[in-house]
Amino acid sequence: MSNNKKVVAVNDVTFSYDDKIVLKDFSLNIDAGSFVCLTGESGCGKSTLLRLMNGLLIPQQGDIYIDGKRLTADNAIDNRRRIGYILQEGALFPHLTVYQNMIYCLTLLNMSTEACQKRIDELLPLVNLSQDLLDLFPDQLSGGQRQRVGIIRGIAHRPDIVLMDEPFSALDPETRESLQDLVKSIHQQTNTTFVMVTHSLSEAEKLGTKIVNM
Amino acid sequence: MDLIDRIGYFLTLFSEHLLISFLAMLIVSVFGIAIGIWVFYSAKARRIIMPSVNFLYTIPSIAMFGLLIPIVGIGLQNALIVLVLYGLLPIVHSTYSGMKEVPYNLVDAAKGLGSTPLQLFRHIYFPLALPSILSGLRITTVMVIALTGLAALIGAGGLGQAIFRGLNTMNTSLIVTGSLGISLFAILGDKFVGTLENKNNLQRIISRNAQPSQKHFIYINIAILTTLLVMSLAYINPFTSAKERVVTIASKPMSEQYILGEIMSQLIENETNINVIRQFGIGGGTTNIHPALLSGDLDMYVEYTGTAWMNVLNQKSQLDFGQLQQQYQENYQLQWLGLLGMNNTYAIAIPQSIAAKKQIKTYSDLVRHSGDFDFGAEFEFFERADAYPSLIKVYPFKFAKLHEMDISLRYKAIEEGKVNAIDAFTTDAQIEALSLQVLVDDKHFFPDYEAGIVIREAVLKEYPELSKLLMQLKGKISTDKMRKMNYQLEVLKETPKAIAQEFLATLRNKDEQ
Repeated sequence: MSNNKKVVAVNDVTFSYDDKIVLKDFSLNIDAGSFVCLTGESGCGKSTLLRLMNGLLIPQQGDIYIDGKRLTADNAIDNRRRIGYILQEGALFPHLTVYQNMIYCLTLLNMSTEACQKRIDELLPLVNLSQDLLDLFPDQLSGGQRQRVGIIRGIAHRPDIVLMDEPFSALDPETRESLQDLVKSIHQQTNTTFVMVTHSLSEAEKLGTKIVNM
Repeated sequence: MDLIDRIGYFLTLFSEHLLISFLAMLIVSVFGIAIGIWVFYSAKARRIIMPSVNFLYTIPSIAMFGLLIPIVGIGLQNALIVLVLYGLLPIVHSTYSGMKEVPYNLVDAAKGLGSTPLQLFRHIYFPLALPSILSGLRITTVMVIALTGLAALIGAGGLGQAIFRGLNTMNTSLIVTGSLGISLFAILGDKFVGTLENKNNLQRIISRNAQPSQKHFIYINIAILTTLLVMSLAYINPFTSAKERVVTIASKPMSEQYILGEIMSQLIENETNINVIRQFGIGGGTTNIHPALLSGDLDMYVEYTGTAWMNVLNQKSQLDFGQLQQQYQENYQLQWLGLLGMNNTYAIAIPQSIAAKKQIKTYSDLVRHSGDFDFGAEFEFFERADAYPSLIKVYPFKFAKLHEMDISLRYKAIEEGKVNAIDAFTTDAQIEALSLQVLVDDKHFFPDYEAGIVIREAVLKEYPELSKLLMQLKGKISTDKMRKMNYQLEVLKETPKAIAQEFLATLRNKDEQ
């Protein structure tokens, strides 16, 4: 990759739910611009690690640094606004239109209507979605379309890091493949850091510049 | 029946009903939703609030109205508190469960994308809980509109007044109209909230993605409701009376009380420039009217000497009207303005046919045959210390069966043969209409229940002219006259207003002669 700057540093992190230890003294460095795939059995803590990185969970021991800054409960929200988050099946908000879903992070940042419009116009061709879909609601879309909307929602605010939690697991093979290609091309074009949780080793091998088997 | 009068009467009741239920709904919505949100976020609050709300719901509403009388008196305030306390349950529950059931992955997504807790609430929790909240609101609306029907019992008005007036004066058309009115109203209320719920209309509007047609539909509905509210407010105009010269006249829920209340009201309206607020048919009678007089919610009503002596003053001795007046003045600052002339005392009545066959003329005769009789009386008769409990000490009746029923249903029950002995009042119109025999109280158990006007001294001080004016009625209404007027109301279906008009016209003519 272009440089070796550490954009995420996980240092000796321990995390447990109640009495069940999920991560113990875990460390991981993620270079800027890399595409890291976290794989492993279910329950191995890969999703937990992802949620630790955007501060949805706070480690009981150890620290996480984002861009050299220690992540705490207090700065978690500010941090998340610089991080993209793409979930399984899109997790689109059912009461908002496709367009409103896409600009969700932009509205959190109080971006103007024109700027939002411009950004979405820019992104639509990238994910192969047509303007006609913008006023529809998520339940009117196919699974693949929903995930494309989810991807736009996750990257519209130009995050430095994009976290993806099994984004393609519920899709049919054909759609999955085309979306993998799409994410790969977005990664190459934007040079953003991607961290993806997946249980598919082939997917990890196809997309990852680094594979962490947990 | 005077149709125009009736329409005016129903418009007033409808307006009151609309305003009371709307105001209650407004308060219930704000508090209910706020509490629902609070218990969602605070487990501690949930542990205390949810059981309390459930508990409130289990208290019979009619008891709650009564329980609040010593605290807040009668009228609108009392009604609103009861309606709000009842309405809370469905709305708190539906708000809480609506929030709880927002899918976790959506909350996770919104949080993970950087929403603050407030944004999470505004963008995700609240809009997604809205369908559940609105379905709770629909239930509450129907419930509050129906419950507002009971508010008439404590003088808060509304369509329930027609029902109670109908029950108390044997007027079926009033009962039917009042009930249908409430049903129709409940259906409309349900439809209105339904418009917010259907097609996620309100959710779309607050999420700013409603179609123009959806918006228009909602705005038109809101405009119609607002118009109705403004019209109702203008129609009953509750604000003007505050500064004006006004007295509030109450009546118990009995035919003759409606007539007597109307006679006093019209006399005052005809002869003075004082406005009269009519609070007729207050449920519970003396039990609720007397405290309301003391608190100043009500100004005057017709009371009976026996009731005042035994129930209000708790006297056991022989009734002494001079002492009664004195104690009322000293203890309560209330005045008795002379007696009207009628004695509406308790009596036991049985069908004439049975009386003749079994040769029953007196109470003592009835004691001997009491095993053959099913006795029906109103709740109050069995409860009052001066009524049934004392009666059976003097006359050891052993009735085959006792039936407690609403005061208005006794004659119906004896007519249909469900009972064959009832307590009656000597002025009851139905005694003649149903060919009943009033038995002779041979041991003089029942005291006199002479009717007289009870009024607050403070009112007499404020409007000195009332004393002389109301004294005109002294001795002018005999027991026979009263029974005749009751007959006009209950059997001939004339309105209290018309009967009072006729009575006052006759009174004037006699004075002029």
